[in-house]
Amino acid sequence: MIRVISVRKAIVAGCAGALAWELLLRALALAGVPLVDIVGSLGLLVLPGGRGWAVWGAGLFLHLIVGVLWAVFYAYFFFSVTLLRPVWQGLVFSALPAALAILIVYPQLKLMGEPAAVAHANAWTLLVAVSWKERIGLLLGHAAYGLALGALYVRPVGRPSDRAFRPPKPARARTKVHATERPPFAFIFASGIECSYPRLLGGRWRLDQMEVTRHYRRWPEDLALAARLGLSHLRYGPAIHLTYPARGRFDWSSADGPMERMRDLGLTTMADLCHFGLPNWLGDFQNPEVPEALAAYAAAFAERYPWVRYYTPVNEMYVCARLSALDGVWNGQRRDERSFVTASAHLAKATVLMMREILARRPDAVFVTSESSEFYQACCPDPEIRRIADLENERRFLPIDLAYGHPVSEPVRQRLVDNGLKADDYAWFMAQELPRRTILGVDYYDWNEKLIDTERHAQALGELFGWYVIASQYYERYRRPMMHTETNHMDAREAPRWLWRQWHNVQLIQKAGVPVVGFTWYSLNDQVDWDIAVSEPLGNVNPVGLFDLNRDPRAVAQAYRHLIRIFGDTPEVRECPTLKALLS
Amino acid sequence: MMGFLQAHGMDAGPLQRPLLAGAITGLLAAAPAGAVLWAFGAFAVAADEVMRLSRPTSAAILAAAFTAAGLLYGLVFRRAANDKLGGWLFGAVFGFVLWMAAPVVVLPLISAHTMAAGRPAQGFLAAFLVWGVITGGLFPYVHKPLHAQMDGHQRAFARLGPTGAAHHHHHPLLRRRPGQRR
Repeated sequence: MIRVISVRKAIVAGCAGALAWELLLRALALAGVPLVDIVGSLGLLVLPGGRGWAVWGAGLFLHLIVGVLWAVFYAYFFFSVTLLRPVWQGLVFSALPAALAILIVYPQLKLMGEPAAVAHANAWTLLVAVSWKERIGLLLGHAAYGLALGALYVRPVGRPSDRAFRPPKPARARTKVHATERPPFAFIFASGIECSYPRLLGGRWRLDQMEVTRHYRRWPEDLALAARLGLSHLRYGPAIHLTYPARGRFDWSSADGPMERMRDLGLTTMADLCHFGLPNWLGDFQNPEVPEALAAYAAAFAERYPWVRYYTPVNEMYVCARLSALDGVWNGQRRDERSFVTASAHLAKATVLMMREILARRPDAVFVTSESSEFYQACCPDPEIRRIADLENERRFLPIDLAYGHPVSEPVRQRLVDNGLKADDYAWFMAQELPRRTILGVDYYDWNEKLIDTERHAQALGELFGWYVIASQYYERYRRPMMHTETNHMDAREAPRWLWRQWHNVQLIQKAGVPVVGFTWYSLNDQVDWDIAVSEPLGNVNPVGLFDLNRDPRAVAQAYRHLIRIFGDTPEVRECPTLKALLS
Repeated sequence: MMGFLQAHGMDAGPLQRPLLAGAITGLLAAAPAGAVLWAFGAFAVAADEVMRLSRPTSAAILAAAFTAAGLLYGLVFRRAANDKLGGWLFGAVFGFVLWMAAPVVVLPLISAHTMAAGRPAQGFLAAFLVWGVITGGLFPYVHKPLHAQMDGHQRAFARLGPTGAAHHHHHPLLRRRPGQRR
């Protein structure tokens, strides 16, 4: 699948475009400027010799069908390809059907209306037989169509955040798979179901990845594929906007099925409780009620699913705070340091309180605090550029510093105070004791290393130092067992190579004495709109998954299977000493 | 459009057989497309006026052409053709493009400017659209059983196994010595 489209919106927009065409050209004809009557021509093809309304109705019906077909084509192949606003994008797109109509289709249409079965002509002689008035009419008609199409076909994925959503009934899995027994302390080979659900467009729109990737419909198949691939663990986050619909109320209907199926399949669930979004009633991450509300959710979750041992209380706190409060992309869409500090503090406090609640119910719980590894390199010795790079290299640690009770540098502490964090709150964080069974999850992608350029903007550098170096910086700071908790590659052809390179990074860092307990290709399926950081609901499929959205394996799935098979029987993988120490 | 498809990961990978699936589907869809051609009188025009061959020979040529077109469809769309939701549309687009190329442009050029008109001309358009919709719609279902299993695929192993971390091709700036093997 190359694009997730809204067929319903395409049908509406295509019909509206065809009607706009007819209205414009009919109005011109009534005003004494008859140009071209495409509806009449189509009607006469269906009803040769027919008259009046019957011909018009038949022609309009055919034209609506053609309009819908072009609209679906637009939805699949053209929508969001340019950077133009949707309405102008529709207008530009209309040049394609207009050109085809003028050069080929309309001349052929005339030929189809002839009584003879054979004509002696060619494409050129037919083309020159079309008058300039007809060509202008075709251009105007298509322009009206394109404008209407562009104006109406917008936001093909997601839904208004205030509209109730009930996940569809799941389809039966066709892949038969049985649970596999694994050594209890084996190195973790994981993947995850991408489950982000941020709100966009000022909070009015919800983009739930599990909805747009059809996981709600196909979770039995997805889980079977994960088990069949040989994965031991699956990062899985039931959508909190569905499971936590109101304060003190929980609805587990969308989560019970997959959670139980994972257990049956022998897939260890790494429960991801908050992934870039909140339920509507809780607002955004500026809300001071967030930590306690999420703690209550964690408590309810742990009671509902007592067999779950691995938890990621809040996924990628830094990314969540940054995109929600500093870059103005998700949820509250704020763009100031004060909001970033507030969001970071709320997320970190939520993590601490969630861990506490989970431990009260599952004392042997393991926490995997998955965080995006970042690095900023100054492009030149300009003091201001160096200052920005240094600031960003401190700021990347902030949420995890707070959650882990790790002291920040004095300039950063002053910056926190200047931006509203009270000294008492900071002291509260520093007084917390991190649970013993906490794993520092470090995610890494091709764009995590950035250059601060001469314009003082961050640009993706690609793999400059690599996971080994960046993860080492995190390890040196926190000295915790680690896990490579996310990686993938936007270019599906490059993905197998990237997988092996990431794996070799893990091996090398282990040799250097850093305790690493697991590796993750994220995610199991392709994702949607992550090439624009889910900043708009466009529906573009990013081919980063082990399986595409048709659930066909990508080459990287085959590579990951090889990797698990080759290394799965080595002693250090069969029994990972760090994991053994953690779990015992 | 090809760039767009590539950006969305259309590489079929080592387990899929899009060309074979395309050829089979194209041949299967030739039957209903042929029926449409026949119903509109377009087949008679194609055989008698354009190709000037016997009807059985013309039918065989059309079937072979549709099979080749199906193979081309698999080659162009590859993994994207597995989309059960959008396949019919990809096929319809492909059928439309074939119609513009074959009966509209190429056939008149090779037959002294003889073109179908009237109902046969309608039949050509309808037949290519029907062929495209059926090819695109059927492709995922024909292709699925042709996929190789994920377990042990030796050819794939070379490319996707542990040596996959290296560049697949010789580095462009490093020359090999004369007679040197990889």
